[in-house]
Amino acid sequence: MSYVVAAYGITALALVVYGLRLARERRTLRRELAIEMESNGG
Amino acid sequence: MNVFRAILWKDLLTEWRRRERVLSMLVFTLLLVVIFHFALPGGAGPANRAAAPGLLWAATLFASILGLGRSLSPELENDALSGLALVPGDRGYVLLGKATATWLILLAVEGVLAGLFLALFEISIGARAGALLAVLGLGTGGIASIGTLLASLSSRSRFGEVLLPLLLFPLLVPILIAAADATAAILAGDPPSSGSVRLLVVIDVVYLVVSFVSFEYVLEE
Amino acid sequence: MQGPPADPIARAARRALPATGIVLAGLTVVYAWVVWNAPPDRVQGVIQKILYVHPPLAFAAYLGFLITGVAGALYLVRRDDAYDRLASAAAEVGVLFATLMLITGPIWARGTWGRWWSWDLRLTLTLLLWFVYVAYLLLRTFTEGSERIARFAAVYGIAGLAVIPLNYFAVQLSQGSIHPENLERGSLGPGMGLPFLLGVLTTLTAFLFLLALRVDVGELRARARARLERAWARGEAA
Repeated sequence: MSYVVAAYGITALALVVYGLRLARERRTLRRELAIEMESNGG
Repeated sequence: MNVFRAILWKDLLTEWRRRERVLSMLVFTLLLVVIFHFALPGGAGPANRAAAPGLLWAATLFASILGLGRSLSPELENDALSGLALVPGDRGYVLLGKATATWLILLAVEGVLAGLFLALFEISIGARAGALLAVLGLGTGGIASIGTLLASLSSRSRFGEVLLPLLLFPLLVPILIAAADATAAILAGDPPSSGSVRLLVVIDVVYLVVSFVSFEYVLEE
Repeated sequence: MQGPPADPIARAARRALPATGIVLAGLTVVYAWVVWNAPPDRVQGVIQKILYVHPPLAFAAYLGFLITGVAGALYLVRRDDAYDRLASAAAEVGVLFATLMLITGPIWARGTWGRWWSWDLRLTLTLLLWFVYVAYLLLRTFTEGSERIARFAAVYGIAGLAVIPLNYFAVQLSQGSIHPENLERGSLGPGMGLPFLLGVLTTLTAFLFLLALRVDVGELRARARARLERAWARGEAA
């Protein structure tokens, strides 16, 4: 049973961590790009 | 085709004058034999005859890194690679010339290495020497073609000398398996299995085509 | 906010994000429930449930590597950076899935055969392919100049795709002489079809979701870099 939990746990954890890291980078980049757009347009 | 001959001739002539690649690979493979001897329980001798084919090809793979890593250095040192990009006709012939030169140089080293293995492991092959040479040639063909292509990638990247084995070895595993299989049969006195020889031929063709076609994209800029 | 991405691939990726995200969340719940309630295997026991995640991870990884090779080839033909971004995104996500496949495999093997690793055909093939695509990512990090990275990576990605069938026949050859018995481990008993199917669907959806996210991030990175370069150019001109 602990083997099963380990297999699913590691898989879920790795995918979630990777997804969250990408999501955070995406948010940061979008904000940066939006700010620069405004300052360029103004 | 003239490009092929010119590059092949130039590389072989350079090697003949300086003997850098042959000598470094030769000394390196001799060192590997010594290392194998101390790594194996029972040493590099008749007790480990069954391991000889695999070790022969492992040594060849390791040595090929040395030879391939330097295969493009004359061009890089003199910034002649962009000059090569201007050759008329298909640039694949540039790769073909360099790969053939590397193939011959590697084969020379492997010939010495194979002779050493036969003596150390006390294997007599007699009339099957031709078959062994053919398998060496087939296995080395794939190493030389895809190796030259990947060396042209890695030699223009940072940490190129570290990168080359990482890029190359995963692609050489099928050659190692098939060639060691065929070599084992020859050393045991049997004809190599048709499966291993066919696979070696297929690998050679696939790698040659991939290298020939895609070298153009490496050279441009 | 900022305008939509210029290239169709990033546009499709961004548009697909919410939908795949919702489908993924729903599927994950159903999948977890079904796997939890699936009957334990008569021979292997509960450990067999790892097979509802392990092969699907491999399918997703292979899909990623296929996309990398094809997108790389398309880049060489069309010279559109969007294909290169797709290729690198698929390689990164594919390596993640292959890594997880290589972790869950030994866990299952340890519980079933009592040893961590077996040089069985599929495990060995995936390991070799994992090396190829890790090398692919390393090549990208160690090369300089975005155009050169794209070209070099495309060449290596195509070579990596070509080696799959060669490795297949080679590993088969090496096993034919050593242990001929084929370890059949995918056979599904009654009540196992549904969780396996859900495993494949959920894993592939997770793969597509992360791929779309990674493509989107890649496009944003490229735009941020382009801005920076323009700013530099302006600074030098001034």
